[in-house]
Order: sequence, then C-alpha cells, then structure tokens
Amino acid sequence: MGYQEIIAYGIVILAVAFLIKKSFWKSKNNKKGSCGGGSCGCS
Amino acid sequence: MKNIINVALIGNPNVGKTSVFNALTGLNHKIGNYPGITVDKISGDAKLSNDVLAKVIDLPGTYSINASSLDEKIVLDLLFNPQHKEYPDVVVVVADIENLKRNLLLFTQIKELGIPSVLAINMADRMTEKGISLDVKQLEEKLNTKVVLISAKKKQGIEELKAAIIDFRNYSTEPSVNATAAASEFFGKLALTYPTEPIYKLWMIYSQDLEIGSINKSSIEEKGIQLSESEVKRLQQKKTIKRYQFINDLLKEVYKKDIKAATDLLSKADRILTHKVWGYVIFFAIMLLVFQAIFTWSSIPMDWIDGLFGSLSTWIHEVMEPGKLTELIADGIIPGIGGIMPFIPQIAILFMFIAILEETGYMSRVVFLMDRLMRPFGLSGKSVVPLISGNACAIPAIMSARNIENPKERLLTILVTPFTTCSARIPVYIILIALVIPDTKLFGVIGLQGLTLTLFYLLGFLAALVGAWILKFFIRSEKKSYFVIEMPNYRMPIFKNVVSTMYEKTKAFVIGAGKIIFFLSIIIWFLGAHGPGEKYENAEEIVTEQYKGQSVSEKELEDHIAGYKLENSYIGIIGKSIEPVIKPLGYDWKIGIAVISSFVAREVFVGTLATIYNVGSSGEEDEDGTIKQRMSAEVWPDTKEKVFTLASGLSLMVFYAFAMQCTSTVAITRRETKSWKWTIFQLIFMTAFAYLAAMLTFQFLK
Repeated sequence: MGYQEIIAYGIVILAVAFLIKKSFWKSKNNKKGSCGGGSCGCS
Repeated sequence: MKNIINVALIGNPNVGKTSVFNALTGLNHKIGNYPGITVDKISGDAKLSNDVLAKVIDLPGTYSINASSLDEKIVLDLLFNPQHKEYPDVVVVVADIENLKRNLLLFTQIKELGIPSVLAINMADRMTEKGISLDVKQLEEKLNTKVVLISAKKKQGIEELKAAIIDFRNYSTEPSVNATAAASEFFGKLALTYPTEPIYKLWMIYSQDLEIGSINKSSIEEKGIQLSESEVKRLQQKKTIKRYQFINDLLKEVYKKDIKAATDLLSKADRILTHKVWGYVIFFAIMLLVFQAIFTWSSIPMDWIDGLFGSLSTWIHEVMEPGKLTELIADGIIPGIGGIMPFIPQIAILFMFIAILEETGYMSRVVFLMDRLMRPFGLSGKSVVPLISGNACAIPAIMSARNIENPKERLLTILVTPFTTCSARIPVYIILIALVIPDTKLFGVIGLQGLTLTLFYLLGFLAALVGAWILKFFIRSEKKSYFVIEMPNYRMPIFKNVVSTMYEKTKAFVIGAGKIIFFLSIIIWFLGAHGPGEKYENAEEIVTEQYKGQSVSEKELEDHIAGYKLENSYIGIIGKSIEPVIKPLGYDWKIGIAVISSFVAREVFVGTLATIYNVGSSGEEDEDGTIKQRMSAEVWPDTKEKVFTLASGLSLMVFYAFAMQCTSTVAITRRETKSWKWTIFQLIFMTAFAYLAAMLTFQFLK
C-alpha cells in the first residue's frame, strides 16, 4: 500500500468517525441562548 | 428653604429621553433619531416649582435591567444602591406611545425596585395621526402608578410631568406585576432572610452575580438559599413570560390602534401594505422580484465558481501523482464541495433582501399579514414568528415556538414549521429549475424560473397551513393565544447592518453545509470508487469484451468502463437495490443515493450528485463540465432518454418541498416536544406525503 492509499483511507476513516460522532454524541457545550429562547436573562 | 430631589430618567433606547431631559432642565443635550445617543448618564437641574428643585439624571437607554452591557451597569449602579449620592427619589420611565409593549417590560422591572415611579408616555402628539387611543385612567390603575402623556419635542405635557414628579411621595411602591409568584418558595425564603431589601433587587444580585452593598450571590447562598444554573435560567424565563402575559392582557384592554383612523402618510402606506387584498398582492410581487433577482444576478458568479471547481479538479489530476489520494481530492472532495459553493451568491442575495426588508420595517407588516392568513387554519397568532423564520432555517424557528404558552398550539406549530422553505432547499431548487424550466419570460416581463422559485416558496407555506388545518382535528386547542406585535417606523436600511447580516448568515450556511458535505463526499467517493467481487475488479476487461467489434471511440469506451464500475461499486449496489422504490417518482439510482444521503441535510443533494457523476466519469475531457452540464447529460441506460426532465425535475422539487430531509430538525423536534411519538409521526408523515406528492407529479407530467 503506497503513501497515497494510506492517507486516503486514513481520511475516509476520519470522515466515518466524524459522522458517527455527529450522529450519536450530543454536544455538552451549553451556549447562552438568545432572548427568544428565554435564556438571555432578561427577566 | 427649597426642597431638592433626585429624579432619574430611564427608558428604552430611542424613546426621546434626552428630549424629556432637555424639556425639564432647559439644557440642550444632543439628541438623535437613532438608539444609543445617551451612552453615559448626564445630569442637569430643573425647577419643578417655586419650592422644588430637581437634579435630573438622564440614564443610558436600556431594554431591561441586566448587567450585560456597560450602559446597563450604569443604570444598575444607581438604582440598586440607596447609598449612592444620586440615588433617585423618583424614577421617570419614558416610553414611546408606539412601542408600549416593549417599554412596559422595563417599567415593570423598575416598579419592582420599590422606588416611586412615573410613567411618561412620550410622542403622545402622534396618537391621532397614528389612530391610537389609550385609556390612561385604567392604565394607571393596573400599573399602580402615575401616567402622564407628553410630547417632549413639542413641549406638551411637561408641566403635568413636573407636577407628577413633585407628587412622588403619594405613589405606591408596590410592583405592578407579581413576578415572584413564578417561584414562591425561593422568593419567600429571600424575603424572610432580607426583609428590608426589595425582592427583585435580591433576585438580580443572585441571578446576575452582582455585589451591592454587603450582599452578593455567595452571601445569599451561605444563608442556605440556592438554585442551580439551569433553575436560575428557567426562573428568568418564567418571570419574563409572566411579565409579558401581564403586559399583553393590559394592552388588550387599554391600548387600541385603529390604522383606519390614522391620517399620516406612513399610516396610509401601512393601510395598503397590510390590506386584506393589496397587502398580499404587494407581498407576492416583492417575493417575485426577490427571486427574479436571485436568478438574474447570480448566474454569472455561479457559473464562475462552478467552472473554478471543475478546473481545480483537472489541475489536481495534472499536478499530483496518480493514486487514491489524488482521486479522493479531485473526484470526491472538490466536486462535493464544488457542488454547494456555486450557491453562495444566491444565498447571499436572498439574505440581503431579507435583511433589507427587516431593516425597513416591512417584515413586521408581513408578520401581521400572515397572522390574519393563519387563523382560519387553526394556527395561533404566535405561530407567525416560527413560520416566518422557518424560511431561513427550521431549527431556530422550532426553538422560537417556545414563546407559545399553550402546549397544543406549540406542538402544532412545531409539526408544520419544517414545511416552510428553508435556505437549504435553495441549492436543490435552483439547480433543478435551471435544468428543467426554460429561461423565458412570461408576458415579456416575469422570468419563468424566478416565478417557479416563488411558487415553491408559497407551496411550502401552503403545506404548513394545510398540515395545520388537518392536524387541528387531532390536536385540539380550546384557548387561542394572542399575538401582539409592534409596528416599527419605516426607515432607510443601514448599509452596515445589511452587509453584516448577509455575511453572517451566508457564512453560517457555507460552514454548516460545507462541513457535512466535506465528510460525506469522502465517504461517497470511497463507496463509489470501490466495489466487491469480480465485476468491479474486472470491469475494464468485461466492458472491452462487450464492445469488441463495435465502433466506439476510446473516450466512449472509457466512459462505459467508468459507468460499469460505478454500477458495480458499493454505492451502485446500494443504489440499484433502492431503484424499484424510487423509479415511480422518475429517479434513477444515482438520484436515489443523493436523496438518501441528503437526509442528513437537503443541500447535500447537489454535492452528492456531483461526486457520483465525477466518480462515474472517465476523468478526461469532461473534467471541466459543471454539475449542471453533467446532470443535463445524464440519460437512462436502456432508453437513452434524459434523466432530468420537466416531470422528474418537478417531482424532485415537490419531494424536497415536503420531505423531512434534515436530521438536525428531527433532533430539535424531539428535544422541543420531548416526545418520540410526535417526532416519528412528523418524520413519517412528511416523508410519506412527499413520496406520494412526488409520484403523482411525475406520473401526471411524464
């Protein structure tokens, strides 16, 4: 297997991992929301 | 001896506080017709009567009392600290007669601080020309305060305001709305622990993490009063909803705006723009103009970007060594990304027009028009905002349905919002319209392509209305909520705001779509450039043997080999297996793969097709071919008829108009409804409906 194949298949594995992560892992990053979301603190 | 009192002027930006300040003090501070003129507090002396002098402090304009900006911090520092040498004896809340709803939110917050308050409603001289009537007496009773109508510019009502200020000791310091009922246990504990402090002040210290005097968040928590961060947010939300409920109910009773009675030019314009017939005709004409511009203005940059990516693929093949990495970049990633990038001009133009319409104040009129249209279909007035904002993206639109208090109305709105035409549908519509709708003009004026795009936008909206009408028989709601909207004044759009909105929204689209397409094109390339078994491995020999003795050029033979390999690749096998299901809709297996992959996000459709066509071509002369040319050249292998015809193109567009092709929307529906039942129902209903409608379209037109 040449360098091109190693890199190309490595990228494919990364792409699959990214899509799996995006589909099944929830982001824990809780950003402050907008006023419409009621989380801006405008009480 | 003269009596000297401290008076604080507070209000939303651009309500004319500085004009009131100048009228009271006789000074001449700079005023302007845009928000934010007062950025620091300024003070001046005013003679209220022979015996009473006042030190008037003009505070920066603020929408609420939060310590989120420097301006608001100045307001807080003064109002929360009785030891402050300028601590007001009385607060004059200046409001604008045309924007009372927003202004009253701030007033109810100020009233909770326990400082005597006067509500000065400015620009009252416009009431007649704007057709506004206000029951001042009832407003005073409900707000538990003194209300004065003034026109600072015309110096009307200033003497009454001065008299009202002098009389401040007679005003109630009780809140207008008991927002603490939102969490009586928490606020009860606060009141018992700090009996001399206003509850709202303690709440602000706790929720905004402030320190006033010796009290701060930690000292409150040390007394055993504690809430988690999410509980604080929930409570803030509850309190805001409670305030708005109170304000909405109040305004319904005391504030009437009859645009028919208004006499000024802009009100006359409003009467036409919100007319029950002309309003819709004008809106349709504006939409048509926008979509015409999208097609006309974007064709040159679109072709240029499209060609650029085609050339980039050829260049990569030329400069890199042949191999899998070269193929991945040149035949997978570049065509995939290049499939979506040509749509940047269209998206940018669309957002530019939306920003202009919002900036001028016209969008609020559209919301008003739509409210009237939606009611017969069982949607509440508050569904207007989600359904209008769904034209940009369904995700924030569904989230904005949180403002609908009635759970059934909210569910109904969430279920139908994804029908509205989000920006992700634009690439699909534009490429298909360009392929199957002739670039001709109706009556020599209206471009057929722009008209088709407009009609598909309306189709999405109509689907949402009809969907709501059907669902209202299953999700019954007895009480309808009302929607109060402020009609902002018309104004010239601010160039900087338009450009910044256009840039931000386009960037969000490109990055959001680009990321998914980037990774999907890698996977699609892999599945298309690899295959199981001997058919894929020996494609060259098999095809050469098939065409032995036939007069085919070398280029044609290579195309046949590439096509054969693609059919026997992993993606070809998957595509062929679903072909029987999608054939009645007029799609071949390649379109089927694009439809399936675009379940992640609709815009993936074009990128997927670009990658498939690139993998399935010989990679020689047609490298420079744009995605449009490649789609146009696609034929059915058996009949040699074109794949993209009027029937199949419209069928695809109808499918995308109705189908739930967006995993993020599925996720957000689940989160917002907290119900898998409704999420799955929405997904199945939309997909099944889309399938049936697309099939009927194709069968009828073929």
